[in-house]
Amino acid sequence: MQDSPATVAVNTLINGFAGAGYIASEAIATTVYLAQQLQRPILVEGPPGVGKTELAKATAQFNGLPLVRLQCYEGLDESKALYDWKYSKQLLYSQVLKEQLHDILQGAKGLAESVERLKSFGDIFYSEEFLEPRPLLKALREKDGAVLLIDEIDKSDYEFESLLLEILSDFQASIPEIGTIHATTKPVVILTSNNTRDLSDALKRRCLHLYIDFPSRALETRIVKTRVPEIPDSLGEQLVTFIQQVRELDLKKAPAVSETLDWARALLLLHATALSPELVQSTLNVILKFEEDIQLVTPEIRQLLKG
Amino acid sequence: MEQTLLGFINTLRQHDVRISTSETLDALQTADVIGYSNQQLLRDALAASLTKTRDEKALFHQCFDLYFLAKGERHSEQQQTKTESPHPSQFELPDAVAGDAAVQNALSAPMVQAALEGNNDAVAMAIEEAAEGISLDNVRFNTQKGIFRRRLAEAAGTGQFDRAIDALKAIDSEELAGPIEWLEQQRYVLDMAARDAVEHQLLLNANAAGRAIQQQMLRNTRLSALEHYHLKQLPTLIRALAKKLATRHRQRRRVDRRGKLDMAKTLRRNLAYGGVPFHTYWKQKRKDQPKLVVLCDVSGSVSTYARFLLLFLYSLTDVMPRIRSFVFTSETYEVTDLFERHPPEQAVELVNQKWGRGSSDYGNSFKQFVSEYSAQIDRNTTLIILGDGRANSADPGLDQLRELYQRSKYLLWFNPEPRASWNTGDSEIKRYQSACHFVAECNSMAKLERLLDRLLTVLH
Repeated sequence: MQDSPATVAVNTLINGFAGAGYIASEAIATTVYLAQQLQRPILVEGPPGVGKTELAKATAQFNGLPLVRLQCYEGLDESKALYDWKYSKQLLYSQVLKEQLHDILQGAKGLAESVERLKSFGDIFYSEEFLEPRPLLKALREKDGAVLLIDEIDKSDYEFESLLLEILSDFQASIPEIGTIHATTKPVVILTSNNTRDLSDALKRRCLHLYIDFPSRALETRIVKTRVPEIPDSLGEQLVTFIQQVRELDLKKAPAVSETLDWARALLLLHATALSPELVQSTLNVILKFEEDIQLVTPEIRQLLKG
Repeated sequence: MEQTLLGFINTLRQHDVRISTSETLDALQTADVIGYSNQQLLRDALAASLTKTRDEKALFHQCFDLYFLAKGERHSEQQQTKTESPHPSQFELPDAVAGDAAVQNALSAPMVQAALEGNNDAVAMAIEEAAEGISLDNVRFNTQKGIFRRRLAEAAGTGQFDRAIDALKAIDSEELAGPIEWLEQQRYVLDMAARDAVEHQLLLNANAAGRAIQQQMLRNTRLSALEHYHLKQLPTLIRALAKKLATRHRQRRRVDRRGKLDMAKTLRRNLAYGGVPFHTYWKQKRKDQPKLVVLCDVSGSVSTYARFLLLFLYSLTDVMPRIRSFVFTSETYEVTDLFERHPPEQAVELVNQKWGRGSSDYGNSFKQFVSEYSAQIDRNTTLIILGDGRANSADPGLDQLRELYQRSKYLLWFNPEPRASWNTGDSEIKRYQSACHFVAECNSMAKLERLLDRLLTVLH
């Protein structure tokens, strides 16, 4: 059967991502492809450490676009995310202007004429020259487009979500003093969320939604092989099997892909060739970040290693 | 194909996936971009544009399989029954009869003609068309099955076979027994296809309409009167109610946060800029973080209520302050940790398994609570006690409650018993009332929702 153009494009994406060191599942690649076609932002959700941020980086690298990153936190507002005025420069100019003002207004008779003359100079202070672009505006003004990563949107306030709506749906930002700034080339927007709170429906409606779960065993093995190529195959498989089982336990924080990779690198440093109970015990703190979790897993190690 | 996609979206909506018009447009565009040839790809793509939470994704996959795969299977099944049914060549009429005008007329009806030509797709197409004509989408309840089946079969053209059969029967010749039987079989195939279509549609629509009615009922019925089956569905309802409450109170908080300009500070800090206020400072009202402590009786009689109160409270964590929760029967245990480690529904189950039996000893439990945790109760703390106030004729622990009453900002008592039975038998609620800011009856979801609404107003 002849593959449809979409299938071909998605496969190209998967290979392209792999070239950028990111192993994408079909669902991930499909969503990215769709986002580029429909020019929609992607909202990526999932447990921490499954490669949500990596996806943005890989997309940027694959497309050869700059990555503009906006890290969200409580209290993030317009002046830090979208734009700000260069106050000190404005202040400096206002001092200079004071001196110039005398010359400009020389010969003007009465207040009315002075005002009239001033009017002809336009609004110097609130012009693009004094505009300090923050990540969002920077991404919009990037000539060849960019990948805009809005990281951990769930950490921001509700007000900030509303601020984003205009950018997400129309790729434009309104600055009262200047007007509306449109994107030169529409950026690829990726939002990530750890789901610590529900995002508003308005925001979700404008985005494609992608849920990245912990990868399957096969996928995770491939990820380990790609990111830590020096690791022996058998050790890689053993390690992934172990991690997959640990995730099944009732843990406070299940080990994520990033922890699997850390562990693989750690084992490599220790010149390990196979997992032994003692080795696992001494390196357990690489994958588990809570004392309770370590205590829970320690007695199970032997059982888990048997598979 | 567009029609099919719209039908699918409708089905999703009936399964409580919220899809707006703009998302529908997205889906149509998505299908255009992706095409229909690769089903796996289409599924992933539609999932991305139509569903916005993990739960919705699970529902989506279920519906997708049900809708598209079942449709495909139905198609091939029909073709199979078709091939099994007698071939049109078996339909032979004696020349004398074939010339009869009435017979010719009856046999030229489109469905009969299609059957005679051995057109296998005709049945499926007729059913699709007829389904749209009689708005089969509207089938909601099992009881409607019969009538929809009959209407669908008629609209699809069983009548045409009936007329053909009647026309042949009118001639009354033995030679015609074979052809009549053949026509009856064709009619049967069509009828069966209609039945399958109705059942399939019902499966897709099932529960949706019933659920709306049920939710209304669930909200207003006393929880103790609910069947076990219904109790299982409450968590979903609670989540929806909690979401509604959270939205409302979030807006209110936003208004409160707006401040007044702190003139003095602004001027002082902007001295460096010649008094031009480049940086503004706002007067802040320092508001102490409210705290919420819940103490639930989980003894047999009221454990159900405790479960749903806890579930409701923990679904509101978005707008609630940090909650510390305790449960008691004869002793008090802190369960905050359980709720931090597990999702609320699971935690509630665990609480019930571990402590939810025996009869309550208010005196001992209060005493223990006061001695161990009273330091936690201060003037910012709102304490909610859930219990029926039936102290089993033992020490009611009134002194301890009074101490809590004095230390806390508010002490609220939620009583799951209907007001009429307060103060009957061993109920001590009247005496407890003297040591509470507010005692409320809370025995249905609707009442609980109202109480928590007021609680949130007070807390913010």
